[in-house]
Amino acid sequence: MTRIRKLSETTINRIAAGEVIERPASVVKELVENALDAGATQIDIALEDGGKSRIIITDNGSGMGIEDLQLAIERHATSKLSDESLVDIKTLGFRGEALPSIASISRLAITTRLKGSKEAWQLKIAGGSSPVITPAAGIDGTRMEVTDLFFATPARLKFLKSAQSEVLHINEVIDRLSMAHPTIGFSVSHNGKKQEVYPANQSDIVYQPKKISDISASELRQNGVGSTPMTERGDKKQMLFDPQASEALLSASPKGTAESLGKLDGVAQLNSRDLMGLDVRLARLKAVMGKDFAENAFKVEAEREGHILTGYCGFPTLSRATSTMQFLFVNNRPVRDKLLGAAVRVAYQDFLSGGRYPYCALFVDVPAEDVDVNVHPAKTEVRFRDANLVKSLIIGAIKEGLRGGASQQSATTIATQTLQAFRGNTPSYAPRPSFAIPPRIVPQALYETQKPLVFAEPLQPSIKPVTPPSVPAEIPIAEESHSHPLGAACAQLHKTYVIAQTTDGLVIVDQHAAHERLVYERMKAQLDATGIARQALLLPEVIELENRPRHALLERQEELETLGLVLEPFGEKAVLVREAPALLGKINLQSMVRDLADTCSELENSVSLKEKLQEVCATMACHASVRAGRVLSTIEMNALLREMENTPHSGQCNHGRPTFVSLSLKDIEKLFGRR
Amino acid sequence: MLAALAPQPDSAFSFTAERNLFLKALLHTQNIVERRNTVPILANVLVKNSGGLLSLTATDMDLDIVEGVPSVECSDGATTLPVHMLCDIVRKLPDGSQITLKSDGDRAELVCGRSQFTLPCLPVEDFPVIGQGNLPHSFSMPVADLKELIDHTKFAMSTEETRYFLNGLFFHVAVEGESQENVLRIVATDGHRLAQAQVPLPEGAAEMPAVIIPRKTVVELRKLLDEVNEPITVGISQNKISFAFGGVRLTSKLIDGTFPDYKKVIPQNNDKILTVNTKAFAEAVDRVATISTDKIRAIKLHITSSQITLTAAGSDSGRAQEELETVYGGQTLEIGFNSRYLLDIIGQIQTERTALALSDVAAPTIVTEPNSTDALYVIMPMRV
Repeated sequence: MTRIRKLSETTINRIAAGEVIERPASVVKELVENALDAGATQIDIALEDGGKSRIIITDNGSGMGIEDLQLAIERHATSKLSDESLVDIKTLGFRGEALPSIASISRLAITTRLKGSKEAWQLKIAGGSSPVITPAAGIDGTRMEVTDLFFATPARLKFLKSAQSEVLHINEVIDRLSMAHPTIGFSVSHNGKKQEVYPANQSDIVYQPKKISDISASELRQNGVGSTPMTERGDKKQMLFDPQASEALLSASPKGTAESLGKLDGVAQLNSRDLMGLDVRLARLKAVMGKDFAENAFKVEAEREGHILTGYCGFPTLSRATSTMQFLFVNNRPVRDKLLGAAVRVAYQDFLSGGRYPYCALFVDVPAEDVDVNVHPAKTEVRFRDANLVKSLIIGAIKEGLRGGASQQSATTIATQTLQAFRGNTPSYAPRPSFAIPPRIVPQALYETQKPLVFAEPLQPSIKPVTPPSVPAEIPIAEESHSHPLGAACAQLHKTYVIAQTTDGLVIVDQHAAHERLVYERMKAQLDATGIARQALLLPEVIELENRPRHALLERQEELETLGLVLEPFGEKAVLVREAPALLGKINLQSMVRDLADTCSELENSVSLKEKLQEVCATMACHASVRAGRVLSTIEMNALLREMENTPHSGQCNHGRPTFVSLSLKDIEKLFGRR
Repeated sequence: MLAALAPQPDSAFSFTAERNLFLKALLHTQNIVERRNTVPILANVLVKNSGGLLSLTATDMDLDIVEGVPSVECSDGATTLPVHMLCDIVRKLPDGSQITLKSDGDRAELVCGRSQFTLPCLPVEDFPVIGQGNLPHSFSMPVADLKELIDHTKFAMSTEETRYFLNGLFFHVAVEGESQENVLRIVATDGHRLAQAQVPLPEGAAEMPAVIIPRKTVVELRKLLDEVNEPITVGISQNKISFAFGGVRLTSKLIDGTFPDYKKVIPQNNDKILTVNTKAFAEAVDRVATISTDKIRAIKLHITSSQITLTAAGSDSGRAQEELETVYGGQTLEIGFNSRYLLDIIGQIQTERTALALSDVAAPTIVTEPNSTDALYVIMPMRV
């Protein structure tokens, strides 16, 4: 018979390590978090062979004295928990597991000097053996050197991926941590080559110029591995290396940020509620998530019952096929939570078709007692005391942002793309005749009926409506363009696009997309006002469901009723649908309700039913709106522009495409080499 | 030598027929054939002559039609020809001309006056024979009765695929409530409304099984009935039904499913009886619903003892209202309906007045001709 015996300390540590240390990226995460908790302002990470053979993390934090050093590698020894309650957790770490775990499965060397102390110490430990401490030479802070990770647990070693993919994981960890700590400098180098650099004082947040060979990994990841079309990647490189293009594209924004950043010198600790803090944060987000995001993001701010939400979200016109560019931080701790995905989906549901994900980086500050981070050793999951509050906070704030400035803005990427289209993406050696686009777009008829458009000088009061003289002449076009952001309609091209002149440029509107959105918004408003009509069913549908979705569905009975779906429990395993939204007509209720039950149990909301209803509205809107190919008079065009200004969310059509593109005079002047 | 002399009934034959008669049969058969087919032979019509009788057969594997054509000269044999092409050709040939078709198995040659066409044939043996099988129950009924049954119910058939057993007409023998007499009844429902029509039971039908006739069969049968004056012979088995009349025989598979117990959803105690003028009511519903811009076109009826007020809301502040005199013996009631459903049903009422039996805002309403139970309609209200 096998006897029960107590496990040795080393074995216990190795078991714990199995949970905490999954791959090199986990080591980096734990050690960088330690460095952050130690108040470091610059953290450098050096990797060899994807971190598999060596990870060196150097910080300029508080460092440790010899007594602390001895205790540090003991299990459940920590400086971070002041009392035993586990309620008031303000540091990233607290379990006291990381160091002993790492020590038990690798060769660890810690060199540290306590701030203000004159001596440095080095501790060496291999595979959980007894530690050796010797005096050493070292600067303030701590240098952690982990060699031969997992040499003591060969099973785990076998499961590691290639060096390249381990580096990608580490970069991701650093990205997330650096987004949460924008005032702290980070650098990662792999096999002696710099991978990514996020400088501490933020004066230069644009990517450091890199060799092409270096770009691959980090740049690829920046763009979301495998999800971005090649052209976009190509563009990015071109922007980086074609000085002319990048100069043109960067134009105004870096100056502005740099100025605001300049004021920040000397601000040591980031206060996330501080406006200045947010600007630093945006600068860091730009470094991590890309320039497009920084230029096409709107600020999100909200507060409710001590829960504070800050951050940035991208315009719907900037979206991608995966959710890799959605980040959530709780009390400055990067977490992965499906709550974020669900909330973002709800907030954007009107603007993005399924399968497109917006960019966002959201920071939630929650009183420490309202969140439990002690869910998982790696601490990537959290539990909120009131998850619904957090969710509605996020949804509300994003929607508010979308309603505000964001709604009528199209992403600047679009204007940029437009300009690039004009330029044909080639270096401008000399103007080539094949690029003479204007004669091609302007139809012959326009020349005969209309004065040439005047772009060079702002606002000629002499601009007249293009329409026949029967139109009343008192339309104050010139004045309109002063007071209206979308300007005054000048012409219609190809019976499809409306050109309008604004105070500082021109706007091109896709008449069908724009009108479709207007009709859709009107329809939605009407639906909200009158409520959703329900068709009672002569033969109620019995729909069999599994326990969890069924329960989730029945929990929302009342909410669903307002959406036109009346159901009740039927036996133990089914629901009975008595009334269905009349708008949906005779649809396949079985699959509709099943989908709904799944979203209800997974995302805890009834998005899918709303989406279905909106889909119907959208189709109807599409049929009821002005088509491409219809000639519009100036009055009609101006009416369209005015209504777009007054309608929320008119910047995107129902599928997230832009309804208009705006080109500034500056951009146009550049096209002609005037600048 | 011998082979050439031996008769080849399947590969070489010819016939001559009058264009109009041939076209009529051809038009009937081509309706059955789908326009797009993945199986080439299903796009063909089987032209067959045996024992001096020329017949055309077409099928979509669920439904087939056989129609005889009077012919002048013909030799025994068969071939298959692309039906839509053949139909288009014959349609364009001059009225009253004689058509001669000769086939050698691979090709068919069609000659009419000075026009000549060569059409590709497919082997006769590939043509699927659905066959009538054994139809144990057979009876004859007046064409007017069958037309009436179909006309009063077919609008309520469902098109929704999941409840496939609603995509047709439920054709069965039922016991009439008061008289306890057997009737031949058809019921159709799409889950929102229900239509029921019945005629006296034809002789020999008492034992027939209750069956569901698929939608396409119903539609095609109804088209054919317009040209018929003689009684229809109906043959039924558990999984097939056939209708024979005037040289045409339509045989269809049945929907293999159980029709819901419709009697349960027809309310028995709707005691608030509302009587309206059929034409005035239909027109009023149609008029008022015009204001509504959405797909559903909901309409509300406010019913008091002397009048109904019909209202509908349009976009923004659009609104329509119309008053109508009525006879009503219940409490004041406000109830909403899908105006299209209502119009579909009122359209079936042939009497001057229409009776609506109501219960409450959430319960089904019955619509009938006053003092008649031959046709009955149930409509579910809408909550607006």
